[in-house]
Amino acid sequence: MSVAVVKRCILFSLALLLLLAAVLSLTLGPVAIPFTDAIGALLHRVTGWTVAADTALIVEHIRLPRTLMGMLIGTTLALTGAAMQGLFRNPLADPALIGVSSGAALGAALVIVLGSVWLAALPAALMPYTQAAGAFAGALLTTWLVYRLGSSNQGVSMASMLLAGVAIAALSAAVVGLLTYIADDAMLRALTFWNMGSLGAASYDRVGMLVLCCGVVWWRLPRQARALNALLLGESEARHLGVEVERVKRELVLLTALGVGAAVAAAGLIGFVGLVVPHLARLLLGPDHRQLLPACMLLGAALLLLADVAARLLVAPAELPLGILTALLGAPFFIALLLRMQRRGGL
Amino acid sequence: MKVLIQRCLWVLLLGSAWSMAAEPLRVVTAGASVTAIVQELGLAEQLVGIDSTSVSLMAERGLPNVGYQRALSAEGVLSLKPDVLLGTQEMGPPPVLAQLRDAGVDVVMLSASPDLRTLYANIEAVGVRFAQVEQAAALNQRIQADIAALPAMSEPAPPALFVLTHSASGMLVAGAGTVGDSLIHLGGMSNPAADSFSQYRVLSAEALLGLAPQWILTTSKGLDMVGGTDGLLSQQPALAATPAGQAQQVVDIEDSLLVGGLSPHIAPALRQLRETAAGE
Repeated sequence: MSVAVVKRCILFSLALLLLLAAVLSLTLGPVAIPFTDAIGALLHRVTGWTVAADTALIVEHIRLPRTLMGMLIGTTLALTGAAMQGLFRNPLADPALIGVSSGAALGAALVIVLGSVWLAALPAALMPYTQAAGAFAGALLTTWLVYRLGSSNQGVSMASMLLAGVAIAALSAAVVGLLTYIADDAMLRALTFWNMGSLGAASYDRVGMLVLCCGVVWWRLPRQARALNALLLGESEARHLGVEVERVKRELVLLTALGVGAAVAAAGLIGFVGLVVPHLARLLLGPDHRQLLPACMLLGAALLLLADVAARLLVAPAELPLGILTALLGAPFFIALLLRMQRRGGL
Repeated sequence: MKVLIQRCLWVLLLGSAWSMAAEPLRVVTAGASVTAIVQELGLAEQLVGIDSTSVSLMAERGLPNVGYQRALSAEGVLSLKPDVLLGTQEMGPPPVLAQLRDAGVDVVMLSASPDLRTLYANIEAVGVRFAQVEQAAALNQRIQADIAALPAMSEPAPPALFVLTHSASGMLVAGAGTVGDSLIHLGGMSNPAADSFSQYRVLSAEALLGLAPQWILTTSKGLDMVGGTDGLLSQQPALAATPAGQAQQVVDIEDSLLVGGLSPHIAPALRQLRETAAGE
């Protein structure tokens, strides 16, 4: 079998894994619904099957938006993680590195703590969206700031962007700390839960918002696969190969801010997916971004869905925060991966 | 004939009463004070789930725990097939409550403001919802009588602080508008912290010293965790230096009295507080 066929087989199995994860996510939960009923409830509008009203409600309005949100977020986190690792040529890079996550956290914290004063004039219908909007605005603003700090008239320096990202992340964390100090009890709890990440607040509104933002990322980011491959050789080499390096950098940073900002706004901070999934995909398929990026999308979505199924089943009828679970599973896995790579001399 | 009709009527009446009794409402509560109201109204048998703050109240029942009242899960609550979710403004998050309402669960949200008037109104509201109006009125009268019968306190009211000690950066102190503040006032003491802020705030050791409390109120679990009054005072030198610390005047409050507004179990706690403060 040729290498190309093997790679295609691997991608196909990843697609199957995602399908399986989606089916599990739709059929498993604290409310026991038989498999056929769940599928029936999913298709009853199309096929006209009759299903119990409460089954239809749970599958259609609780599990389906949750599954869709998990897929959209998992895909986008893994995809942007791979892009950041390629762009910075750093295996530890993830979207947090350019300030996206900390900026989003700062935006949400500002709304939670100071929002009651600033946002009192807003119509009540918009109130549920203010935290998400704050997170999104925070992500875009800090990324823009980091990008400006990292660029000079000689172009964008990845090293100074990285340093600016670390500095801005520290500054954001300090301001969030200051905000927690003046926050009252209820605000503190809102902040904590928001920081832990969860798909529990899934709704079709949020799915719609994610489709818009992540759709742009899915459409544009994989087109940079060849440029990312060229960048693996180094910036000047990529430039010699005809890659418009500055434009590629700008586009990747913007797409990451957009995708991760939307993901954090919809579900809070979900750590480790963007860091671990690209490494897993690289182990399976090698470093060629043309296969790596689609593999990251499939694997990221599948792993996030499986983690979410575990989050809602492990302590049912209560629920674990998903962000904690992904870090809890992701970190030991990552350490094992690290040790293995070291032993092979890969690092 | 008349006898026969009478018998038929009796059977019908008994039958309808039977069918009402056969299908009691399935209830999930969120917030310890709400669970305590349900318990006091004799409705505990109808509970099918409680939140994590109510576990100590219902320890012997082993009811499913739906998690922290502010982080409920829609499907988790639905899996208990409840007719009613009974909680306070503190429960959430809002999208989950909306999903539960869409699923046909009657989400009853009581006020969590920590004053006696709200407590009586909440008891009345629960009584109306579960057709226990008389029991609710009786419970309210009993609490009122218990509070009226509390031992009088010396004037002027001694300054007291309600502190939560599990913060690394300082101590969380109850300001105005908190259950802790209400307990201090109902306990016949005054809360110097309420003059400067509302809700819970982290206070530095020096600020705490400046408020010069004669009494420190804290949670039972928190006090157990640090090893009682001695442990608390040795871990928190600032507390030890206050008048309360020097006189070892620390009172613990059962944790379930502090979540979801005032609890119907408040009167015995207040009696104990006043008796301790009066030096009995």
